[in-house]
Amino acid sequence: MKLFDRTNNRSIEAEVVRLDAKEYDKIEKSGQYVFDWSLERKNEVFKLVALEEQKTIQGLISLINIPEELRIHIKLLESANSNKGKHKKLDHVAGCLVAFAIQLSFEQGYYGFTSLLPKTQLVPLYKEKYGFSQYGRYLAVEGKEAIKLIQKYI
Amino acid sequence: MRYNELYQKLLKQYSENEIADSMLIPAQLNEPQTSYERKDFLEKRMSILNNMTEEDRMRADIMRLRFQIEGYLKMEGFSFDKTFGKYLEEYIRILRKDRKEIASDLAVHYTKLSRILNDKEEPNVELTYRLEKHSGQLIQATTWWRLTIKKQAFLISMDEETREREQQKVKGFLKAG
Repeated sequence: MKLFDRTNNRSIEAEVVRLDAKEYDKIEKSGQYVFDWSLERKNEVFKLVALEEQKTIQGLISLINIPEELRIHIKLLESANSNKGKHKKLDHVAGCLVAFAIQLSFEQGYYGFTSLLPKTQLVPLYKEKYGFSQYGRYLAVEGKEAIKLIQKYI
Repeated sequence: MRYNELYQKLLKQYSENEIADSMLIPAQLNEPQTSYERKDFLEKRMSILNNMTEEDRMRADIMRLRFQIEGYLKMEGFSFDKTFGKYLEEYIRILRKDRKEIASDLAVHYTKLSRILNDKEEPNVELTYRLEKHSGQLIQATTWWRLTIKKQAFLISMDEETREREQQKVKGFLKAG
């Protein structure tokens, strides 16, 4: 997958890998994340890193595999502070992490079905940015929309 | 800090658009709300599953195959169970077409296709382009082609007989060791 470095307008190769249990302390000490990621230990947490600089975590995602409903649920997602706001360094961090969750869903045989339960105020924005559909309070993506995100970010 | 408080704090620094662009803030529901929403969502999920078309399932299975191939290409080592021919066979199985239909779709002679599927012949680049289009661009030509490269690299590394025969013909070589 590719991130876009806004400081020099070039694409950089990146990958998502499982977070090691020892890294939670490092995340807290980095001061780069506003969520308390140590609370996600019970879930499957993955980090996004650029291949050329793998020590820096560019973003994190916490996932829950729900086999009985054939879906992957995105519990929490966050880009590093350096990749947030008007002056962010890298683009596509959140998109790559969402696409990774969808990839896992396809790999598990869930037809790409990936859900999230976001704050109500942000629902229209997530729908617009990622093509999610609304199911009550939940948002989810599957099928062709899921493939579009894969093709865009992976 | 609860997500609602955190959200209010973040709004002092970022716009809603910037927040949605860089993080997912979960809804905070109480127990009855969670239970209701989950039940409602489950019903909708099951309805989606029941209404999936054969084409939807095939498309998803092709995506799964693509990730299987990409995963194998990232790994070290080669396996005769994971060749171009074996993955092409799986591709055909997903599409539920017989070999004759696929040969016709891809404009390849049936015998040639059978030889490729049985690993008795290697595909050419042209076939990978055709497969890319046939899969609706879901599996790229380069992905198919890298399977042949991986096999060739393995065969080259193992072929001591050819190595010895060919290297005997070399004169004036660099003494690097």
